[in-house]
Amino acid sequence: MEKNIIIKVCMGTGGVASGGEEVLAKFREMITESNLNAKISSNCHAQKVGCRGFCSKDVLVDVIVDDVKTTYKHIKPDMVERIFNEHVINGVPVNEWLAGPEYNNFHDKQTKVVLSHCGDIDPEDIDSYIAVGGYNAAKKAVLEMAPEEIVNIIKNSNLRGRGGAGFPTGLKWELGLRIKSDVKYVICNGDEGDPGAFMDRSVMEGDPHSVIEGMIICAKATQSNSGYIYVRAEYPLAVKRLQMAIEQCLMKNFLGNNIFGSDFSFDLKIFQGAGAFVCGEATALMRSIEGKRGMPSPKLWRSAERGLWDKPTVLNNVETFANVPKIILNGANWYRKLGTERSGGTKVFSLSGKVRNTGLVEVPLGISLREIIYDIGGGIEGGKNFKAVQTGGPSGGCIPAELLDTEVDYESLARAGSIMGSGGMVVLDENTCMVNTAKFFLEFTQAESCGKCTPCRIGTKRMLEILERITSGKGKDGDIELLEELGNHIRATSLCGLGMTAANPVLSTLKYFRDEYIAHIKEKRCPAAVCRDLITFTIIEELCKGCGSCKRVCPADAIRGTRKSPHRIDKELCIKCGSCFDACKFKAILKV
Amino acid sequence: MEKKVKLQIDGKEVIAPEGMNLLDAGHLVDVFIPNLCYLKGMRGFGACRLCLVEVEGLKSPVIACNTKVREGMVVHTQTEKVRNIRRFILDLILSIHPLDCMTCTKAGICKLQEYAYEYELKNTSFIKKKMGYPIDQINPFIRRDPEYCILCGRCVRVCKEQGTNVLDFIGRGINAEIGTAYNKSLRESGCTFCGSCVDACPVNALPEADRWRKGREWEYTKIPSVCLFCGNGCDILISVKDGGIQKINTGEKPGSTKKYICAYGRFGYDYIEDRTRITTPLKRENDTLKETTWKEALSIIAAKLKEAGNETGFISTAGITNEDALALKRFAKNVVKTKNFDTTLSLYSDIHSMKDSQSALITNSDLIILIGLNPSQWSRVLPALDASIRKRVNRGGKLLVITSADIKIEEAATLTLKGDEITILKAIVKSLIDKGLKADIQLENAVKDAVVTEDIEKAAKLVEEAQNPVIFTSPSLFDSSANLTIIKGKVIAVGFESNSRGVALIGLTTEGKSYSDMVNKGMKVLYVIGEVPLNARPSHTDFLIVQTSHFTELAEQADIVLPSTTQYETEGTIIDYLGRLKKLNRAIDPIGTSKTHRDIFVAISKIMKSPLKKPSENEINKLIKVKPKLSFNPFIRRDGFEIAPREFIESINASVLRGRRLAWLKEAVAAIAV
Amino acid sequence: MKVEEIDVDNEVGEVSEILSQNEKTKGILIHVLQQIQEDMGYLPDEVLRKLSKKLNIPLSEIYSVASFYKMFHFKPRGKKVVRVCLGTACYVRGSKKVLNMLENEFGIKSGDTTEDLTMTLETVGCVGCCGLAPVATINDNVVGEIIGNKKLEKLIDDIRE
Repeated sequence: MEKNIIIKVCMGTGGVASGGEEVLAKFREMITESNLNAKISSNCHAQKVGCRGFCSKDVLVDVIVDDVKTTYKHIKPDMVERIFNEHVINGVPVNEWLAGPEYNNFHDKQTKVVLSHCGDIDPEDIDSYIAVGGYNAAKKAVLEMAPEEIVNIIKNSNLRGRGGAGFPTGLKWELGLRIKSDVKYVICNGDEGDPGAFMDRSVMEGDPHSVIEGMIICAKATQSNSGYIYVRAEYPLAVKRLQMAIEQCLMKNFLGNNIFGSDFSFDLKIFQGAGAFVCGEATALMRSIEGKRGMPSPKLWRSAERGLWDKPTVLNNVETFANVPKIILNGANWYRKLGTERSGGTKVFSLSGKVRNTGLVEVPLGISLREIIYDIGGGIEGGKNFKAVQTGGPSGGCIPAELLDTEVDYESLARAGSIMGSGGMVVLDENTCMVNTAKFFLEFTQAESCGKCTPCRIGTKRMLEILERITSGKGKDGDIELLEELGNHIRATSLCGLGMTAANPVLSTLKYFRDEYIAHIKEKRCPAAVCRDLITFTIIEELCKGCGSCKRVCPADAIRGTRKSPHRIDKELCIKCGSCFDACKFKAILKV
Repeated sequence: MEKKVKLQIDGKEVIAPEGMNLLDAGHLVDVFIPNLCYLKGMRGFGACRLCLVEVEGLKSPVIACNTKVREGMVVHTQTEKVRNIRRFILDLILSIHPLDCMTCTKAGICKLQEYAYEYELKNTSFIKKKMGYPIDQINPFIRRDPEYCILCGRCVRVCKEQGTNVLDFIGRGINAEIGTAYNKSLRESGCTFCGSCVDACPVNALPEADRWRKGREWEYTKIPSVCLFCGNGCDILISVKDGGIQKINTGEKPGSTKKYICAYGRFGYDYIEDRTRITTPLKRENDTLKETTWKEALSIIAAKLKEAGNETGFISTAGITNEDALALKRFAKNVVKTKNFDTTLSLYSDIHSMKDSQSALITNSDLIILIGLNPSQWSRVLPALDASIRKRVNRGGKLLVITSADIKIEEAATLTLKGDEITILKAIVKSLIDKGLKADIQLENAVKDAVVTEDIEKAAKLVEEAQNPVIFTSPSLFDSSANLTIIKGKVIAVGFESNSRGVALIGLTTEGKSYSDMVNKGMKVLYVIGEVPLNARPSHTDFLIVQTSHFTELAEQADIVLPSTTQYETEGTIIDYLGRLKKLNRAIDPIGTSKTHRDIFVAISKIMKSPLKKPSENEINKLIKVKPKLSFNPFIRRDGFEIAPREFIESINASVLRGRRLAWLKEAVAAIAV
Repeated sequence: MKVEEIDVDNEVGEVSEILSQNEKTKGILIHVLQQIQEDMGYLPDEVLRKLSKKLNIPLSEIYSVASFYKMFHFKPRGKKVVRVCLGTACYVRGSKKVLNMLENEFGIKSGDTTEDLTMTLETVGCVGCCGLAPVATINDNVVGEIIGNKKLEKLIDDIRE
């Protein structure tokens, strides 16, 4: 019997960063050198696959022998030889390097629709996508379905915009179809910019054809012949793979004139962003494609009426498009049932922060936050206490422990004072200062403000200054009220979504963690011991062994003491860098 | 008829045309919604957020500048909610804006000051920050101080819309600023110093460079008038205090940027008190010019004119008022009894082109056709025409340029056709006739053999699709261009002097020797009025009289020099290039003993015992009310009008350009060009 | 890329065939700027001047557009551009320390370039590798989990290399 062996090496951005290319090359070298295929009469090949969402374990390698998959974690090139000899040739897995139950738990609790092919197929090979049923949906839509029919399926599926606002996709397409124009555009918003979010990048890198296929279906449904994929500047690999995918589509006539032999034509082009978070906002994104400053414009029209170059434009996010082929193939009902009554399907989150398993997770809408964080994420790192989870990036908010059972859908998260957003989910533990967290997000938004409207340009800056004052121990009575007033005004008066939501991280932390603000202002104390100006380091004499590690690392020469006797920190000299705290092996340094 | 909708703003009923925004609709019933970034006529920008108002039925406030009126709308502009919002926004702006209203140049007309007062903000409630931007003040025209800038973007939009393209938004976020490419000074950024941004700026970020301590806005008497420096004859608004001109703006309401004036028109006025200004009559004595009295000067002239009779020649600039022109004509014909009078108009145009030019508005035209003309803000040849055309194009109008030269305005053109203008015009007409548009038989015959190319086809399509095409043509191509109007549109020949059309209509056009003849061959007595492009005393001229405001090279060679008033010291009317009658008003008293041209002629006529009456308003109106007659004319180019426009305009304004600031400009331009 | 050789229609592609000339040239502007920046490392004054003529877009507008996007620079850049990620995850895991360390080591502040043009130091919002936090990028290559002195030293070596 000939054995069929496939070796899959993760080559998402995370995989590549951890040395995936070298690992893959090593495997390929071993296969050739050992003349394996002849020797053990097997059909063995190694291939790259996209991100499977568990980047903290990269490089991840699957060895699949006759459909039996074994996954290894943290693989380095020098480990390849052993895996190859023991597992590939002799059929005995290297047990100590296996990804183990954690890896399986992480994946088993998920429902993969958008990510179903990520980490499984070779993203640079269209045939690999076609082999798993790719482009059947587009072919069906283009050749067999009327635009109205497609629109109805999408409407019935309850698919809502995955970019954050959750506008029903079917309605958007319906409007796009209804408006008559000689030229219409379909745009894929791949300007994923929320800190802590990388869902769209993984899809564009790991399964670029699914996005293109979704766009083809949308083009047919809205009778549009031109499209753009706007990819942010920081995603070169996504650009490369999408570009390859487009070229392959052109060769197969899935894009271009008379696609699939029909009378329908669709041209698609990639537009690479140049580094501006605000371009994730639809009007700003379109101005950017038009070669202008990415400044949002007041919304006189819906994009579906007047968008890019004043032409009707349907704009959806990467994940939204990636869902479409599956909906067409499996039907609206199947998709709707995956989610809740008001929101169909699944949502991909990028789980990060102080959670044990960080990475991409795809879950059915309606799942609770607790399930995501504890069942999939494996709970809090280092056995610490959960404090809050931040969803929705800089436009979102922090949800406290008492609301952990909140269902994940657009409305419930909004009620909890946050938003669904594009899918960032940052877990914060007891060692996280909420004022500092709010400050971090505001720093981000403030730096990314386009500068056009007064409240966002100046207001966020003033707000940030107040937070800086509070975290550095100079907070004043009334600062909390001032923050609230500022926040509410900025929300009410800003020109675009970025400005309107800029204050959310502050307002939501003020709502749930007001006492932390008060502690900073009134007691000049940071409860989580994070804000540098408000903490002190003290050596606990009983625990200090006098090893001198702290003294050696102290950049300010603030630590005194002789060997083998307890040391002391001179508070006048201490610059509160925390080096001693990190260096002490005996946990003898107290940070309060 | 445009559709009207009925709505309510602050309890007042408003009937507004469909498509109008709430801000403009408010104005109709004297409801003024605060705003800093709105510019009437341009799309709402939505940056300042001050114009937020509440509309019944809508959850959150909307910006009035960008919300269109709807039937039955009920709008509230002064609710507590929006007043609080405005207060908050002003508070934010004040946190990065200097609070030096007591010494600030713009006090009294600063919109921020006005709103801070209205919303009771003495100071910001935030910590005040300085951005620390450098001031650009190396030019004598505009002082750019970004510290005052509130980023309303009005200057940017004005500068861009008129096609000058010097200012733009730079950077982003709190560090966003208004600046130039590579943050260079205005001088190094291709700025023409037209000062449109000065008019647009609602605060003190872009005042005139010399404006500080030249008086408060409310101390000024504002006198509307017209600039006579070039063929555009722009409306200006002169601010006068203590008998002196303090500044000049466009002839629009303060803060409006609808009209354009160039650096000459806005800043050139400082030449009036230049040391070359002539304040008393001069007469030649032993080879030098010496001061004399009006009485003596005029009696010498009267004697000379009487003696020379029809051997006297009058040459004048066409940049004089209708009143002066008519007085001059009558003086020459009836008093001196000579038919030899002519103006510089004859150097670049025939009379028929000027007389039969039509009236039109650029703002109403959807297609502008520019034939054989090279208007340019940068060389200040018909700069307002250039700016107006670019504005129109930026608001959706189309521009067809037909030219045999490479010209800058091509960059704004929808289509440029290069080559012999007449060949192109014929081909366009042919193409239009082929498309089935109606022409007359003579025209059809004249273009029978024209060759229609693809580009001509495109041009013809533009004309075909246009509702109100307006043709601006060089006078030498007037007849050929006017033939197009048999099919469609209006035609205007553009002269280079402010009253080119008026002079032609009044009839200050020769019945005897032409300007060139008189200059080339000389006259027994040659009487020169205003500044003409003539530096050497024509030979065979026994006696030369120069009547002008400033000492020129020619004046130095004169036998008698009479001081005349400048455009700010006289009143009268002109006909501008678009055919509009415009009124000059006297803003300041004449300097020294200078007199208006017509007063001088009347005075001489009295001495000559043939008293001249000053022309009345009625007489002028009758003369200029001529209906243009247009019919088919052969496609020809008139010869003899080949002047270099820039050099011509500079020479008739030589003394203006010697003024302190414009002299700097000339040097700066030369330095950059090198 | 040679500014003189830009073929506007070709760059625009079929997607935007119907645009006016003006829209087309603006439509390719950002892409062209990206290529200039890639070739030269920054956007020099004289090149943008040429581009302004070629594309008939005012210089002020090109500068304005370019200055809006983080990616573009108007001053020469170092051979290695190092960006330390200050995204949430990286921040939480101590990327500020990495930044301070690099600032001290090379004697420059974030945003500056070393005099010998070895490197330009910057910060970035998030590169989307939160699982590997804290991360930095050296010319688009991601270096992950920079924790501890060894990793820091390796990072410095990689930059100097």
